[in-house]
Amino acid sequence: MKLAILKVSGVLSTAATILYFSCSSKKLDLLPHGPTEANYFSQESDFSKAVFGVYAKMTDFFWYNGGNSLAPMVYLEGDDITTNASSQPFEAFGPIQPSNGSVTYFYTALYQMIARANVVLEKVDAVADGIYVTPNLKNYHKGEALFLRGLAYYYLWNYYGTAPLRNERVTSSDQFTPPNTSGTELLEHAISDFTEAATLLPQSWDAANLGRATANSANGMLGKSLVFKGSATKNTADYSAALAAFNKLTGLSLVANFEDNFAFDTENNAESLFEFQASQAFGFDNVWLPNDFDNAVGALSTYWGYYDNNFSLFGQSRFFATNKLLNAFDAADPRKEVTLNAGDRTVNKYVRRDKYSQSGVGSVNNARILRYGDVLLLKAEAILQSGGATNEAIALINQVRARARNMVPGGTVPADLPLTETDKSKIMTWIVNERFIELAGEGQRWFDLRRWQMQEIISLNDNFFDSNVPMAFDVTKHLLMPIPNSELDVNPNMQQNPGY
Amino acid sequence: MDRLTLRVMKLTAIFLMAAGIQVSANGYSQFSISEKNAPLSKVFKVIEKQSDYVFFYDYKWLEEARTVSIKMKNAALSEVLDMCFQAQPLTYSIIGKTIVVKPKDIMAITKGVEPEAELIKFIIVTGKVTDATSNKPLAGATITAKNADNTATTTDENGNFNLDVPEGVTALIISYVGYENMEVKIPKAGALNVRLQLKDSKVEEVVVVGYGTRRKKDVTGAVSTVDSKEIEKSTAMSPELALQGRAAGVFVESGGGAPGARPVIRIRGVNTFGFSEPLYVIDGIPIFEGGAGVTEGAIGDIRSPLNVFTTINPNDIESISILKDASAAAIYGVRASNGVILITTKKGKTGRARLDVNAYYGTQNIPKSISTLNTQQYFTLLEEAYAANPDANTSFAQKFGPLYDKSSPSYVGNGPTYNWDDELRNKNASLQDYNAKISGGSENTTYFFSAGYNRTESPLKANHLERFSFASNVDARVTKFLSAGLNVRLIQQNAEENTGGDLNTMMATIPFQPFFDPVDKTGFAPAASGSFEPNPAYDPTLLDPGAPLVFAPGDPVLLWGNQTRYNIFARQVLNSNDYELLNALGTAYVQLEPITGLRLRATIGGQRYTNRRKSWEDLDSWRFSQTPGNPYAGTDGNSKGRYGEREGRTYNLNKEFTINYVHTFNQVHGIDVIFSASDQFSRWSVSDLSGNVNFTDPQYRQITNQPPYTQGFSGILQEDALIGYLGRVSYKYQDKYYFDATVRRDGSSRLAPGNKWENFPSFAAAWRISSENFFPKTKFIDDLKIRGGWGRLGNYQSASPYQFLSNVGLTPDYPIGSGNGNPYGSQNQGARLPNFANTTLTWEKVETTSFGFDAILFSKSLSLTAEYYSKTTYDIIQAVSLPPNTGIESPADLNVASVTNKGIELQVGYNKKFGEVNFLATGNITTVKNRVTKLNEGAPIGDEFGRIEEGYSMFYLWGYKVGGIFQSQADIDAWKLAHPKGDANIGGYEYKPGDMYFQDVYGNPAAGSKDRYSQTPDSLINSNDRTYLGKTIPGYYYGVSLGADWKGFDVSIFFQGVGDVQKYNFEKSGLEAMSGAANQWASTLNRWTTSNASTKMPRAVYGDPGGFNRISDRYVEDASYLRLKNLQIGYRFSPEVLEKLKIVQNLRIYFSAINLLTVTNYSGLDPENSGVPPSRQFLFGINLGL
Repeated sequence: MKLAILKVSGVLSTAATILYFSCSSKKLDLLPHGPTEANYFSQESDFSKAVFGVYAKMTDFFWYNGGNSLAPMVYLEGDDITTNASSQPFEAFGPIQPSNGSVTYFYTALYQMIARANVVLEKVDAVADGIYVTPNLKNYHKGEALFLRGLAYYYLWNYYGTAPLRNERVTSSDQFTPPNTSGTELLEHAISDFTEAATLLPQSWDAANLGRATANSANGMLGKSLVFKGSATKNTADYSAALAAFNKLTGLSLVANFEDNFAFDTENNAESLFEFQASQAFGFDNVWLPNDFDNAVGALSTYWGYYDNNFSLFGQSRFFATNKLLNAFDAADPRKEVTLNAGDRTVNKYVRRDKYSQSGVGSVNNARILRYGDVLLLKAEAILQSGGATNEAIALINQVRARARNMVPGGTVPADLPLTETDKSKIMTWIVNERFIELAGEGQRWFDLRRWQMQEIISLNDNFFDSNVPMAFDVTKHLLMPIPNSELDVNPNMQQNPGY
Repeated sequence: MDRLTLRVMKLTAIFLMAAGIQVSANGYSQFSISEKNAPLSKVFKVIEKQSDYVFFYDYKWLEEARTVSIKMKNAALSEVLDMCFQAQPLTYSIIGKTIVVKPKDIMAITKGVEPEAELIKFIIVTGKVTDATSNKPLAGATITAKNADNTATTTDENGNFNLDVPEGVTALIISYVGYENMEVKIPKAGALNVRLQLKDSKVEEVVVVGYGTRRKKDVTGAVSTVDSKEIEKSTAMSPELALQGRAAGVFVESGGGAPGARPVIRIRGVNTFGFSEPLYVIDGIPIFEGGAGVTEGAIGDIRSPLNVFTTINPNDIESISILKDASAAAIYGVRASNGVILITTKKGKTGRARLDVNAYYGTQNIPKSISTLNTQQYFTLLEEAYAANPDANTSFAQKFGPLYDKSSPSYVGNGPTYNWDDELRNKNASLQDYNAKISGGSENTTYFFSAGYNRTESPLKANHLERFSFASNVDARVTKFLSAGLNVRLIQQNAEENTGGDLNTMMATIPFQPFFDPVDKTGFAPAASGSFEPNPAYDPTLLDPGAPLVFAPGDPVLLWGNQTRYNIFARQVLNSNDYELLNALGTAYVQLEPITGLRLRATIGGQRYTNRRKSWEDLDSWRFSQTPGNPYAGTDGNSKGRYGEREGRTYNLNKEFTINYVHTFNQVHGIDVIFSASDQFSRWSVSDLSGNVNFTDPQYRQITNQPPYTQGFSGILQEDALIGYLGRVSYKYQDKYYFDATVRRDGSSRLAPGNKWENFPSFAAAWRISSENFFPKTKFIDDLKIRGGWGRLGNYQSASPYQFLSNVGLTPDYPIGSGNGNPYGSQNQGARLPNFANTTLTWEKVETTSFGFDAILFSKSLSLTAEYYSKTTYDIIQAVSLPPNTGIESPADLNVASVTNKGIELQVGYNKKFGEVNFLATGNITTVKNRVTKLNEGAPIGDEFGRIEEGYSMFYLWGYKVGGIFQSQADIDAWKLAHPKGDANIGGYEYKPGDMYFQDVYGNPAAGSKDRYSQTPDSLINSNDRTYLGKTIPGYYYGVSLGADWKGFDVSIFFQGVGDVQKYNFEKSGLEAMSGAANQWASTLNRWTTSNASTKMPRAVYGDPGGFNRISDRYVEDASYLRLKNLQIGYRFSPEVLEKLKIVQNLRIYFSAINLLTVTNYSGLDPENSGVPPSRQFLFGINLGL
């Protein structure tokens, strides 16, 4: 009896053990319940989504971000917009630190956009035949990724100057710690991305796809970057190249009403080269949750609360136009009241014809990144600086002025500038001034000021900014934002920008 | 001595040991036998055939025996045997199931033995062994002749024995498991009456170790235990808190006063900056919780704030063992590196049915409050602060609005003060617990049933936890070889988690904002107002119709200025946030024991845990928010509120097959061998649905698919598989030498193919030096064992699942197609590859070495355990936030870091009787020295509040050091002279007297240098001057428990504390900042002013342009504390009184105070948890046994 039980249990335990060993490894081969890279990129729509993913990163630049909007960093450094908050780093310059949250956030988001673009570029280049079925879409995707990467490089150069290059997707740890760039290296890479993108992108998109990058977007940004490079290097060849790029633009025109460039109901219009497409998530535009949070909720909006003093500022000072800006307008320039209230200097752009998202905080009104008015003035500058015909340059400025005065039936202000003027520096002053009033409050001014400072056309100091608050601007330091601590703390190959 | 006798006795001894296990098995078998002149051996065979008895004899003896003629029917065994042994030279005795046959007269069978052999005479000693207290007979006690170890026998069922003792032996040694050995002199005549005393429990205490139990004295690894008596003293709903201060090496930090809060448990330091939670094993089931270890972010939110271990009723717990080092924990392999907590629940015991009822009721309050500024003081401070740094062109009134404008009729600066902090407290919050258990069993079946109810309120409003718990287990010995059992546990919990803020948030609320407004329909004072108008763009035919109503221009308006705070009390009433938790745990086993000592056991255990959140947000609640969004978004305008259900489901199935063999060879070589194979599969899935409801009535709050719009998403699905094989060999030689070796091999689904499997070995040895002959026999040392061990453990949970794969995230969205009047366009789903796929990711491993001793001293009144441990964690999975330039969005898991933890543990117990007073004291202390020894590229990680840097304690506090406060312009000028480059953080700010300045500790790195800073100060105060400010891992923690009982009274007092630890006082950094418009602590009345030259607190400056509130040692405080955790006074009614009550066997009433006193230098509400501090509780309880 004992023996029988021994035998039975021996057989049982052997069987049980064998059972365990035989089915062991397979049980461990679990996979996540979501797509992985290995099984993704198997159909055209997968690529489209990856491209939208790159665009989506732009939300980080424009949203409310739970009260940590990048708006102060984007709008305050110039001489057009000011605030009453003396402790606001981007107003006073002095308190800007490598640990600053906005400095860190913008930098991080820009590289995330680059990384997403790099994924698209890598996958599009490796795509098997037959996956793409829509004609040209593969080229468009590649063009969009290149354009957006170029845009990120453009911002990186303008803010951080010496940030590292990231032309390939990071897949191994030896890629983690690149060194600084120097000079206009970042801008050159932006230029090369825009150049290639321009050859790949469509001239235009159908109505359903409005807002996606076009060849105009790429050529416009290409020209702009080349003008910027010219300012930095004082090399006329850059201006010539810029001119060539601008000459490739087609089908653009200034819209009749200047304010249509800042209104929710006239987005992606004939003047537009590229805009951030603001909207609201179908569930809720939750301005405390990032775009990446979820499809139903999460912010897809822009934040204009600093302009219209939205309650969500919670006591932070709103933005004002500087007296300098107020006084720069001809009194009867129709652009003046589109831009600001003369009485209290509060800003009107973007918020006079605005539409909140469901949140009551974010707005669905697109932030304009590049418009034809800007391009015309850049083109004027490129002609002037490359030694082109001065009257041609002046005529371009006059186009911008004409649109403004024509907003009023029989308008006369601003009057045309005399085409006969040949003093290059005087014409340059006109350009500087026209850009000031045309583009005020659009987040363009600081980029212009710093490059003109490099070009020694202007000389920046505390007084220049006409700030409401005491400034501590140091021209040897503040043309560059600091490299964030989050990069330097972990990247021994990088150096901080001077002065920080 | 006669060789033959010797052999017989030796064998007998072995049988005695074997028999000891089954001594209770009785034989009521009846025998029928009919033999004529049969040899005795044949009769034996017949008896063996009819029963499970076996005969044990020497064939030689049978040669001397007479044949037997016998005819009996349905006779008892003894009748049959007596008949057979009539007139035989042999006699017999029954030991267990063995019938031992031996000669009546040893002389009669020594024929043929060498004549020169010395012949020994025997005397027969008879006697009885009983329990000294109950006087009940002890069956199976061993009686050994002194100095003749091989002469031994055991007592029968009635405690009787008879033993043939060689002449010359004068004494017997009586031993019995669980009792003190006793030596008695052999009397000249008459029977012996031996009364054995129960052994001191410290020595014979049995400890649950993984996959079995051990006598405490035989344990080689580091194991702490806490038993039910101590667990019952804790009123926490969760059993882990009962460990606080009770076990050396186990650090427990309360999660605060809310009943569902999670404590932090760290065993012997902190191993890793990843997953640091110990493994919990409840009755052999390794527990799995989705999102375990994460308390923040989306996962932390979905995991919910409720501690899953509140679903284990502490009343049902028999003991908790904590396996602290590798030699103890290696059997749990890859899950064990942070230690293993083994929870063993109560089981039925053989004997009469018992009913135990326990109950307590008490109330609790937060012991401390900190006063805040009243309205007038608040205005004074704010005006002063603003005057020190006004916005340009902006007066105080312009900045803060008419409420702050003295000239305005709506000025509130002279108004009443509302104490928000006090209002949030749930005064005299109740806690109650009722529990009933029935248990008992027969020889072959034991059972246990338990039911409990607990309801505990939080000391803050709108939070409570209610638990219904049921448990049952049955163990049955089905046949002689087969036993089986079932253990199930079902817990339903209902919780309200609707407080919506903590005391510090309340203290910061502007003091003039009221709670109540009788005019408002809700009775509460709103925070915002606004009116709505139809939205012209609303189009219900679209997928995204927009909101039907939008705020009228200029709305919403915050009613109390920019500093308006949400009205937490209105939101607590209007909204709800409830949880329903269901935890079902069960395990079933079948065990075969084909031969004594060999057990084959198959176990299947599982867990099903659901955690459902039901949330309701009333449409009206926007008016009580400081961020009032449009409540009509996503509705058709008829909605009365939004209802959501989110459910997380955890499924966990564990299968295990174990072979265990325990045997002692030659009385001295004890082995215990285990082999086990197991696999565990766990799944965590979450679904989340919410939608608008057209009714406010709670009974209509359900998820429907009706309009307006139900939105939902299925959140998370995570699966995890683990396969493990383990082997353990334990050997002991007598009670002197011990050796254990364990190997576990684990495979997990979490890692890449090729890295899935890993081995975890461990070794341990112990030497009971006091058992050696050379060890001096003194009264000082009763028992001394030294032990040590080494082993390797793993941690697989630091690796997020599937880190070896590149995931595709489908959550970005980008809208395109807007224009020509349409501002929205259409939303497009995007894709991203957010993570860095690490295909070489492997386990975190911990190697531990520990050695120490266990001693019992001073006539067993003092026990002492001292142990040194050293642990090195390597291949730590660092969730590295890769340099931002990489664009990798999720932190990447890399095996890059190493950390060591070293320290000493001391555990002391003292128990002595002074007259009628029985006094008991225990104490323990653990020291921890934590060092980060290696990091990725040597680069520090973590923020100022938890910096991780080589050479430092993990999570240390990092920041600036305060230099002082300028008392005069001369101070400022002198400082500027010494620091020509100034402070980079203050930009253009000009110092004024009363301002705080910071120390220049380091310098910027030399150009081209890869150092992060230079040791030489450079007169520039900037981020490179941040330095070590304190450590957050306590250097030591301890517990002291004192108890005494006298007659029926008992008193116990328990202290617990931690030391050598600092904390960043976040509350203070907000409530003493004086840089915003939030209310502040009254301590700010001591701020620097021209008339109050404070050297501690700077002047008030709005907006903090001077950076006084930067992270600095200004807010770093000593967070050590000593707490009188538990004071209990009880009275147990005497048996005489109870006898009158007839059925009551045991009755004790007690009064208990929890957290009576805390001694600390920490200035916040509590050094452990400031948001919801642990409450002070007073309660009455009763223990009743029937």
